[in-house]
Amino acid sequence: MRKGSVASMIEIYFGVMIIMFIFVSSIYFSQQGEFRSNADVIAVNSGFECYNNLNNILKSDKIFDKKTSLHLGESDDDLTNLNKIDQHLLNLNLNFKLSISEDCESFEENCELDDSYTTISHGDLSNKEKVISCSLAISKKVCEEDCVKFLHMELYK
Amino acid sequence: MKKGIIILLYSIGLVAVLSLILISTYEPQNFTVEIGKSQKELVKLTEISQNYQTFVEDSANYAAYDSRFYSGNDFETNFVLEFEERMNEYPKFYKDFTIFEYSVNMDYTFEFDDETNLVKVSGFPLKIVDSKIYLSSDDVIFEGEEELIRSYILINSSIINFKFYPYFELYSEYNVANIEENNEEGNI
Repeated sequence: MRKGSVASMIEIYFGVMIIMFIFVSSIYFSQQGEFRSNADVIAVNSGFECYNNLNNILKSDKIFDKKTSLHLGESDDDLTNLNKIDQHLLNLNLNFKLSISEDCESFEENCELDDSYTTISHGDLSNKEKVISCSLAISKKVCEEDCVKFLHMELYK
Repeated sequence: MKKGIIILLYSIGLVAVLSLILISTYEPQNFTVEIGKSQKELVKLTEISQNYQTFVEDSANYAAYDSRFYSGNDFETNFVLEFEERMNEYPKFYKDFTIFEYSVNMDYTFEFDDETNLVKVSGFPLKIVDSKIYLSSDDVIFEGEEELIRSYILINSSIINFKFYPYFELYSEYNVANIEENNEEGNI
């Protein structure tokens, strides 16, 4: 056998060994391998507290001399009405804003209001952030252009 | 180049590539999972259906109040037109929202009491049954297969199919102008 052919045989032998090593180890590590990932799980606020408070306010007949939804639908004095609701909820340990508006851009998503609407604040809202907001519709008594107005609540924690 | 060298270089290249892949995937992936979205939608639809019921009752009250000067058929016509007009103004609150007129068929009943001049008005979702007419092989016409059209508001949301049945029942004055005229005549 010639010298060169011996060297060639050794090279082929090592190459085949390395490929075999890669092949076997890839099978081994694919079985042992773990996918690593970090998942941040965030629980979405269901808004139950917000909607439930609004529905209770609208159905109550203790705040005004009739059902709140009827009174708000008949009266245009939004600020006085909101203050009366606020007084009624004085002992409620909640921090919130209540607003009344004539329009709502998207009731399906959620009405986002700015401060230009009639709004009252309940509790200490400083250093607290808004956790959820919700809106419900009220039927207006005098129904010339729009028959609907909206009561909004923003909860702060 | 010798065959051995080629295989050797190839295998070293393969090891290098595999190492790069391993190093690049070593860092764990980060992602955020939000849970409770379905519950949020369910809460919203449940609460809004309650608000819808309040809206139905209030709209019926206002429609009855605005119809108080009429009596009989005029009262009924005026009431239904105004009530449905008001209900159609309820804002869209889910994707497949249909206005009141097409979402639920309501059966109205009016019971006038001439002694007290009070009318009892009620509205409940009505089950409309549509009869399909068939022609049999011996040319005899008969009705068959009754089909329900609507008696509730159906919300076809992505996560739930939700039905609710709005209704109202109220007492209202009617024929008010005549009562006032009669009283004035009585006073004179």
